[in-house]
Amino acid sequence: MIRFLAHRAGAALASIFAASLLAFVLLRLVPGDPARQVLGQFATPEQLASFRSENGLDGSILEQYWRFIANFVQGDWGTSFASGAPVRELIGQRAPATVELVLVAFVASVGLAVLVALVSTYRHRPWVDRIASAIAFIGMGTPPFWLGLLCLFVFFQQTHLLPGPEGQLSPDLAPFPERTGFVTVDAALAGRPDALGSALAHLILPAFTLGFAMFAFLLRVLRSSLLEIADEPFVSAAESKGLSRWSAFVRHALPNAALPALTASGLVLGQLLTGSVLVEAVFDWPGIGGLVVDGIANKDYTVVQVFIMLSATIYVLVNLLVDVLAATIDPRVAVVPERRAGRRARGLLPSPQPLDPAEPR
Amino acid sequence: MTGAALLTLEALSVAYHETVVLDRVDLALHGGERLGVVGETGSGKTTLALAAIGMLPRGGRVVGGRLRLDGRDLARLSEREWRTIRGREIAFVHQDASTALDPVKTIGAQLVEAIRIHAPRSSRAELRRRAAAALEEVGIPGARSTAYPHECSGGMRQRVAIAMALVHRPRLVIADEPTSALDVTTQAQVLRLLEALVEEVGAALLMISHDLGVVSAFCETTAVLYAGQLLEIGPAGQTLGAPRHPYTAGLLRSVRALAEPELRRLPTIPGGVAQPGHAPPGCPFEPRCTNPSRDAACVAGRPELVARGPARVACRYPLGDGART
Amino acid sequence: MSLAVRGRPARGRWDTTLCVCVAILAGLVLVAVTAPVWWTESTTATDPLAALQAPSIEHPMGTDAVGRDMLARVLGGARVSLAAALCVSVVGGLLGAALGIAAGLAGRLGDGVVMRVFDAMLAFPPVIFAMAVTLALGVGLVTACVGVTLSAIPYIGRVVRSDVLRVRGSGHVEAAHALGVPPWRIVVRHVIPHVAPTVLVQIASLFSFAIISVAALGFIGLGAQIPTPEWGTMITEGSALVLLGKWWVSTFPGIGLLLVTAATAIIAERVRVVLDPRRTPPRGIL
Repeated sequence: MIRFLAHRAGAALASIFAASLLAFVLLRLVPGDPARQVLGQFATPEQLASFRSENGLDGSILEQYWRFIANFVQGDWGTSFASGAPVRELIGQRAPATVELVLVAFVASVGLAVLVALVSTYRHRPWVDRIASAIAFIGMGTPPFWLGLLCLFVFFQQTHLLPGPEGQLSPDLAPFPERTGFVTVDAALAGRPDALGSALAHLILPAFTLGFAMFAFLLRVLRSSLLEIADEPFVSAAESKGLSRWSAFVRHALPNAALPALTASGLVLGQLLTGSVLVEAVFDWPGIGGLVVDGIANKDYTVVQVFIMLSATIYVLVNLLVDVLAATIDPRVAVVPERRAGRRARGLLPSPQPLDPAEPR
Repeated sequence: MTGAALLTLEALSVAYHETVVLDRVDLALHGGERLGVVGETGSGKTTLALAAIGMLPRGGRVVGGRLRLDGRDLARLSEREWRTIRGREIAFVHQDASTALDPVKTIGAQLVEAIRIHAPRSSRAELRRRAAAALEEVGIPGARSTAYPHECSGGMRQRVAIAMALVHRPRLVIADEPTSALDVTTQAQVLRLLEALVEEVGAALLMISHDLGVVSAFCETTAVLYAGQLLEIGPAGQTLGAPRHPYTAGLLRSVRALAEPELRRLPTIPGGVAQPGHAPPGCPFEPRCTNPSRDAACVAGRPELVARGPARVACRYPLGDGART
Repeated sequence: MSLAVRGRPARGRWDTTLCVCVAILAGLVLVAVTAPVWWTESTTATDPLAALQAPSIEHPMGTDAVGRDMLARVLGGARVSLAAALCVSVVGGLLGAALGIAAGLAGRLGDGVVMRVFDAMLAFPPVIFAMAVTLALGVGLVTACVGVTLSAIPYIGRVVRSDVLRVRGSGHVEAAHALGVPPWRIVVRHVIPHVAPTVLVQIASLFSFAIISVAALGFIGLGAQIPTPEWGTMITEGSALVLLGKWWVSTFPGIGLLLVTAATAIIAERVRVVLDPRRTPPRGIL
């Protein structure tokens, strides 16, 4: 197991490095000269040169890359051209909002998906199959940004049931101290039920929009593997020991079926990261996604660069975590193969995959 | 083999959806008796085993007759009542323990689960102790309880399955082809272990097998199933040594021939096995029967089980009766 | 009674879902491609006086903020989005397959290099990688397509590579090599037939992914630029309007996206069930 962990961690690190190289190359290709953009057309060569040396845009490519990596790792993420503020500060300010949104969406989707999958596979009926499949495909096909708009139209514009795209709270609420940066937590800590209610109400639509696709996808993966596993002998063997069907199902079928879902959930995170950019744009959510979209619109590419690097790092680390978790649940996974057919091939829109030990991994 | 019957099947019929898979089977198993049920694929033997533990798959149900444990009608039991019986009074050893063990749990954990179901108030330590003891009983060191199934050999896994079955000292153990997935040497070991433990615990054993050799070595009584019907039942030595039913005789001919030094051609039973639900109205074996005494009566009606000594045969003209004139 | 395989009805029964999906897709393509013939409204001509009209007989999908007819734009957007997705999926599929085959047949070094490059690309969530590429190459529909194509290649490449490794291990290839068959022939006669079904399935699923990704890039401003009609950008154009009650600018393109993506995903799944039945669920894209 230790060998496996070390191997995986090493691979993750290598991935991040390779990704940083790729990101660096790509972003250096961005057309336009940042120095000229910031300083304007009338800047003198000296000013341009000093700007460049200040911002690490001089020197050989290798030097630039080294500085880029060193800075990134140390947390110096440059300055936003548009606002002049350090990117790190900007991101730090806006991260909690995104984390709150993503967390709520994630927990709700996973929880609901597990529940619905369990209930719908326990008594297997063909019409349940159809409905679940339909939900899955519709969910995966619905563009989250469009769904958000639709929800806003129905629940806000037409019926005023839920708040509109005004961020995390109603603007007319009396302010309360910020302690953790998470609005719901802070409102609760400050003993303000009205603020808490407002925060939760504002979370509903964005979280739903973000989580729906994920819910649909997880539902499909889980149902598929549960249906496969439910027929496995060890589930009925557990019943023959005296367990009720439901217990056997939950205690034996679910953990085995969870594995492919777990594998796929690493990808779900990728969807969440992209989705958050899209959804935050729709709901004017004060998170990192909004920062990115503004950055693109203003051609403020420093911000976007950092976001891309951060996404890659988080993505790799979460997938590492998923691999470790998978190995904990199913020790058959913790094998360090010699020359293998790539890591478990995760797809862009992956499908349910029961783990097949016979397949080369 | 004494006293009243432990498990009785009284003209038991089981069907999957509309197809009858067990057709009026009469059987009695006494406490401590070891009964082997043989038959080919499709004979209904697995269904018999599943019916006896109330775990017929979806679509399967008892459509006639009675199934009794100590006189208690099992077919009328609720699921909740069944759960008190399964694992405690009746235990099941599955065919292939590799697939019958949860791959993501240690063998110790699975034993503990088996114990805890019927001893819910035991402490963790108590459960672990009993699990380790159960493992020792089947010859596995208690320290191995943290192993996962894929880290154990096939024989070891089967022994774990046996341990799980016997941990509550059941009165009836149903073993469904308990050694088909093992190589011959391990087979013998596992079977001897099963035999010894069953005897020690005083349980009755209902063993399902297609392997006549295994049944002859380890069972006292043999029952022969064909197309869902019981064709012959009797003491193993007699049934397999001097079979009365043409089908049994045919089966044995093909097995014995393997030991013949001058084998020319493997004797077979002509024709194909009757498919479930497609047995002819008369004797199910009639289309393939080579008994010279057979006649039109065999086609007309299903033969009753008649006694021939300690055995019973479902044949109008059992072998060894003397030729009919 | 032949049993239904999961994901596919019993033999002899029409697969209604599949028929519906194919019908929807075919219908959409037909309508979109022939649109300029029977619906002559321009996709780009502005008419400020007719701005923001609700759907009516004259403008069945209403007009947008500068008075352009939405039906024409939606159909035009269909042409753009479908064509883009087609290019992305075919090019991406073939390139990915080529790289996968090369990696699978190559020696340790070649394979290692390709896999490391893939790993680097795979470290990014797919759409974000496409975003980076599009930024690097300059925004626009073409670069967005390039970005999405590149982001999909490692997924396809890996699946194909593992298939190729399996073929390699199964002996055909070694035997042919031992007989002196030239490498290109080995590839054509032994590897490609084996790998072709997988690639087809991947291309089919990639189509779904492509449609929605190009639209997503369009939504954040990285894809098609004004005035090219593209469903993603159209949704952005309509987003502020939704809050004013003018729902039709964003809704119809979205419905189009939903229909196409879901239909192609279902078709891809059926294709997979037919071409690759032994591997119950697929690996790689969808």
